[in-house]
Amino acid sequence: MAFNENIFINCPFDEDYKPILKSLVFCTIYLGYKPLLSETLNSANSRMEGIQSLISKAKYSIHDLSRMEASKKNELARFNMPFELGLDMGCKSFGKGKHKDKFLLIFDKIRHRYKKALSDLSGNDIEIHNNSPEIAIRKFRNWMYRIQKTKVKMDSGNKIWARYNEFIGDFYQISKDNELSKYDIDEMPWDEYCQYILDWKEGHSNFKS
Amino acid sequence: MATSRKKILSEKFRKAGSSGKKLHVISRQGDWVVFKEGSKRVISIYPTKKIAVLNGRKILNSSDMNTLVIHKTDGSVENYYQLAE
Repeated sequence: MAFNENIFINCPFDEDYKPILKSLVFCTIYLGYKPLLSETLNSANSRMEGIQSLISKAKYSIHDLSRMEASKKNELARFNMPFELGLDMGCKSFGKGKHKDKFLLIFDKIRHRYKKALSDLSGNDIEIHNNSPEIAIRKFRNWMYRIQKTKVKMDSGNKIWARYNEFIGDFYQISKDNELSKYDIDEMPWDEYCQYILDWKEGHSNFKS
Repeated sequence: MATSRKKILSEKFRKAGSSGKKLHVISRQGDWVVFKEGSKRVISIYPTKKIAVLNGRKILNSSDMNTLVIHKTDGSVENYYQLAE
């Protein structure tokens, strides 16, 4: 897909975050874009090179800082997400040509929390999802609508949230009918998950707005 | 997963939702709503999940719908009721 249609999703891949990540991936495909995820990178190359390549290929990016914290006592916080956000901001600031047109959506889970660790971001608009996939979908959809140069019709947040729930219901039934194990589902590669969303979208007669 | 199985699953996803016989109970902006799959409008809105599920079951039993899917607030499936053919 072309630069204009790619969305780099820079989010955590832990189990607790999966509901939000799945909803963002669904919304990306629903709106006609292609999600680029670091989990689908070719392991033959270094991870850093792969992430830089994804950043370079995507006009849009979603960076979620909500896991910028230690998960256990005496553990250091993980800073991959803010680091990659910095790379992306650098790409937009110092890059040339199409990279100047990049748009970045930054998420956190609690308002003003990021300021304690990343005060340089003060002045940037940070969207808060409260760890809710529904809110994440609504904020993402509204952001995409706002940054469109030509305002084309876009399904409402209510509609996308309803379609996402329908997809999840169908996924549940198909998994059960085809005896997919919990392992099959939990470990399903993200590109395979994306393909099924695309298949569902293509086949869904009521999908078109 | 084997390629042939992926193709079978892809086909199933393409065909999913075409029956229009599923009802869903979902959380929406603090309320609980019942809607028919593919529909542009919800059937009804309730303040609690309990009432939404009760009414979802009533609608299921008094309509041509054959499935009721009850979702959690994150969209995942909590219960999946299917009427016998």
